[in-house]
Amino acid sequence: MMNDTQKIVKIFHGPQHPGITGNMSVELDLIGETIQRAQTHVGYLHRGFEKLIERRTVIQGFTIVCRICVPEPDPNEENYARAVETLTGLELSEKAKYIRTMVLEMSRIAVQFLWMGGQAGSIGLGLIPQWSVCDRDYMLDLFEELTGGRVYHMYAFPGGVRRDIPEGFLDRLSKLLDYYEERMKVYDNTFFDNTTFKARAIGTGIVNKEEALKNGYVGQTLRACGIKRDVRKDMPYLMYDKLEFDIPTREEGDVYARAMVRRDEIFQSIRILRQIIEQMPSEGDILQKIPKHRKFKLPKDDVYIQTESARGAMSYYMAGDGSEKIRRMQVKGPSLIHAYTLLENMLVGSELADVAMIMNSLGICPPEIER
Amino acid sequence: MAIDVKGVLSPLSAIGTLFKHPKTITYPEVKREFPHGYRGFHINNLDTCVGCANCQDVCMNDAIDMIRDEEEHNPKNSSGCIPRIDYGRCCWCSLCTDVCPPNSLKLEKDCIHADRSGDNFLYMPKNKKEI
Amino acid sequence: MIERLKKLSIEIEQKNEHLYKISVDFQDLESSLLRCLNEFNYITLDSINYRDDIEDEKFCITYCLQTAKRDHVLMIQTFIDREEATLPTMHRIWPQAEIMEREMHEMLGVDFPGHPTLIDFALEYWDDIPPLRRDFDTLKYVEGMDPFRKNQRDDNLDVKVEMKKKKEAKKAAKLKAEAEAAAQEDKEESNDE
Repeated sequence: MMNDTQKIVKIFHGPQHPGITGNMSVELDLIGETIQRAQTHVGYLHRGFEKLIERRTVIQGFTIVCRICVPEPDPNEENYARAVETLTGLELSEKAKYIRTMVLEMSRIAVQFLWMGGQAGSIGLGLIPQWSVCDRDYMLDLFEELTGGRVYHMYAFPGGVRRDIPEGFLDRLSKLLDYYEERMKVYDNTFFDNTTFKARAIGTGIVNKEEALKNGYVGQTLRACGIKRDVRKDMPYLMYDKLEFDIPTREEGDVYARAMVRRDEIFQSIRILRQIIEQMPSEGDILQKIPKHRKFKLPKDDVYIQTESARGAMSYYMAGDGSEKIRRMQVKGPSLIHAYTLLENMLVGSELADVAMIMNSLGICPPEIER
Repeated sequence: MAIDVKGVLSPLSAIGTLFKHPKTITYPEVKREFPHGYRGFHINNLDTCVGCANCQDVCMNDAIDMIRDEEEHNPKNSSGCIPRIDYGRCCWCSLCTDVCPPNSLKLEKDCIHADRSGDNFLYMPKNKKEI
Repeated sequence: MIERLKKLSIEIEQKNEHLYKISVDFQDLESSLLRCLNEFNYITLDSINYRDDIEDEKFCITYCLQTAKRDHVLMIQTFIDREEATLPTMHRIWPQAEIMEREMHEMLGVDFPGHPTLIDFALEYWDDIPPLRRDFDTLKYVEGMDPFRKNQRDDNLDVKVEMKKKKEAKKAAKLKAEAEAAAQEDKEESNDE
């Protein structure tokens, strides 16, 4: 007769679970509270973007692309615009490049605040999500003034941007950055120096450093192991080769190291935004002249573009065929490899209560995996 | 075993926020002001609309219908039709306002509409000149 | 690394300062990838991209590789047959290829002999052709489901037809007015006489 402590129990962690970062599920085999085997299941959010794009022209397609990743729409728009510009040979003016860099960095700060809420909530500190969602809201107010919408901006067009900066916008942005630097001291006191967070996070979820580069991990998963890789420094685009910033790294590779790397990146983004506010040119074209939407034809070629989002490197493959419709657009986000190859091996031997914390620290976003 | 004194005592500074004013507004007594340029509902100036159907051509969700204008607001309207929008399919991308040649279709700040039935969302844009 | 590759007698196409492309035949695909990994240090497989060229009856498959420094991307492109599509599996060398090949099997219908888990990725109980092929028609698939609210949007008119009708009505009215004016003149002349 099998001993009760040796029985294997199978449970589904998700898709309806407050500790999951979206809509996916992890099927776990447990003995007691230790995990023996983990399998990821996605499929609850499949909307068919790659098939929808095949029926649309280039200008119609740019309004769909921002909906692929829900917390972070701006790197998707930037990738799409840059892919069309590389295929057709459009050039940007300097003012448009500064504005697009500014939008990307503002979006990066907003996503890191949302991550902070998720990470603290997964351990049980219910106070931090209330504060960080409110602080993210102030950044969304600025986006609403600039683009007309709070979350889905539809702003970065092939050839430039759609609208000009309103009056007094740069002063309001500068005051908000001062406010954020004061608030980070409060978050340090309650979250990053908190002894319960340190006791749970130090030593859990360690990533193997030797196979990190070969397996294709990106983003903070690499930088917390001591490997300094960032698309903004290795393959620079827009204005990043003229701005000064650092890439923070740590050595341990556990959940606490990834959290501290993200905290340091908020300060680096504030530093980049202050330089942009000083250097923004006051004159220039916002948008280059492009043909009308049924006459904008793509050449018969294909291209591969990468952008650094707040969670890692996001890549697009785009192909045209000589007509006005897009032949193929394929999206590969940073979460595809982290959710399958990394998570299924890392969870073996962990405890059941740590699953939510590990998933939040890797930054797994299900809408990106199965667009 | 060393006790992390700073880590135990510093989260207690959060108690001070009990005595501060909250950051939310008391809706519905206090309403929120939307900024200029917000993408809300459509308005159309029927005295200048020429019925060219550029908006129907560019809409990527097939949300716009051209229906007959019974009152004949504009004698220069070359087809006698004006646009009506299905709000079950519109995504508020404002491409239709970018391609309108006489610049008569615009987006205003109003954005609240509620109904019990899903069939009542075929919206006729209001006849206004400015936002 | 790209300088060492340039010394061999292969044709490399450069698209911009960070992107290079090489085309190979299908028989040499596996040996080229292993040679890039072992001899030239392209240790990371970033993604496997695909495209359906239905006019030439082929699939176009692209493997994107990067070195440890990650300062450029090398695309290796090949064409395979559309009716019987098979590719060698790479999951023993690069573990991330397992999930990418699983998705390709579901969405495009390519077979990978030796792959451990060729099951569904995002679609459950799918019984039609693989959806990302060009001959799968999305409009026909939703035909019976009334997504357009047909019974309410029936008063939609074709603008080009209406423009033509209005022009012809205007022309007819003009001709009628001219005919009446001419008849009126004739009457006045006969009255004068």
